[in-house]
Amino acid sequence: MKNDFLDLFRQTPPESSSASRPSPKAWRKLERKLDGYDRWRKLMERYAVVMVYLILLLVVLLVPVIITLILRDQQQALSRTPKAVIEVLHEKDSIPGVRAILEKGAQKNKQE
Amino acid sequence: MTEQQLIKACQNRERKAQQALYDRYSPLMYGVCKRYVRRAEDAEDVLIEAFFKVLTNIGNFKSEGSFEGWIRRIVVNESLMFLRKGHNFKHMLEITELEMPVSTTIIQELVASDILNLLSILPMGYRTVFNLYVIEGYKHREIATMLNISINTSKSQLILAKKRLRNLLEQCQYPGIELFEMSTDEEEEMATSEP
Repeated sequence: MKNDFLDLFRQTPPESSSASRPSPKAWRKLERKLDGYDRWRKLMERYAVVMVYLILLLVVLLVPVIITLILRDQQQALSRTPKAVIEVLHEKDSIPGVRAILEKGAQKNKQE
Repeated sequence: MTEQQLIKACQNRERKAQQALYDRYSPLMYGVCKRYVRRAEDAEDVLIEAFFKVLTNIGNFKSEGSFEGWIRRIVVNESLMFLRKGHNFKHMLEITELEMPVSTTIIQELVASDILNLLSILPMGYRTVFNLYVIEGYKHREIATMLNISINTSKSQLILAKKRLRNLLEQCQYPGIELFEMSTDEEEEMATSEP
């Protein structure tokens, strides 16, 4: 019985393809990369607590300022709102038909 | 130092342990890289990047599975990432790749040192699918996802790779090649592999 052609490759242990090794400079490159990563990590660890405190301090300081600003803006907006004004129209401005109807309505109200 | 001790020391970021781990696994993993990436310099860059990931993420390794298998997966993924940077597999695999003539002497030399070296003659698409399916043992469905190609493309690339390899072995009169059977019927291959 014939074997599967692919077994020819599967049977070859992958270790046998490792006849050549990476050059020694590969490790040095990797070591430099790891050094950089370790420095960054240590820096982060050292300043992480300080950063958290700084952020908290910022929040504590900024929240009252923001609330004060919002309240002031609301008050200013209220003060800028125009007051209700009752306008008295001149006879000339009114439409004759409408005026007559309104006057009739007012007389009726008085009689009642 | 046992593997467990080595892992523990690497988790504590001990440089000597990291170097010991690198020395232990880098020759094998370099071989894996070279099966995917042809140029030795590129394979070395891939290896460095993969080991950087291994050593900085070693805390995530759960001792349930094989440590070598875990490193190998990272190395394979890193090799694929490298190949993806330069090529779009979807386009690369779906065009017919030209078969460059290779001299018999070269083939004989490659086969004599290691039959897996023969893969370096294959075009990138064939080689990648062949490596993932035959050597790493991934399924066509998984390969399709990894390379962002269709399952049928993965299957057809494997068939073409097999044909090409058989031709190369016959060309160099590899001893006992006639004892190995290869289905040349593509339909049969499609039927026997997963849906």
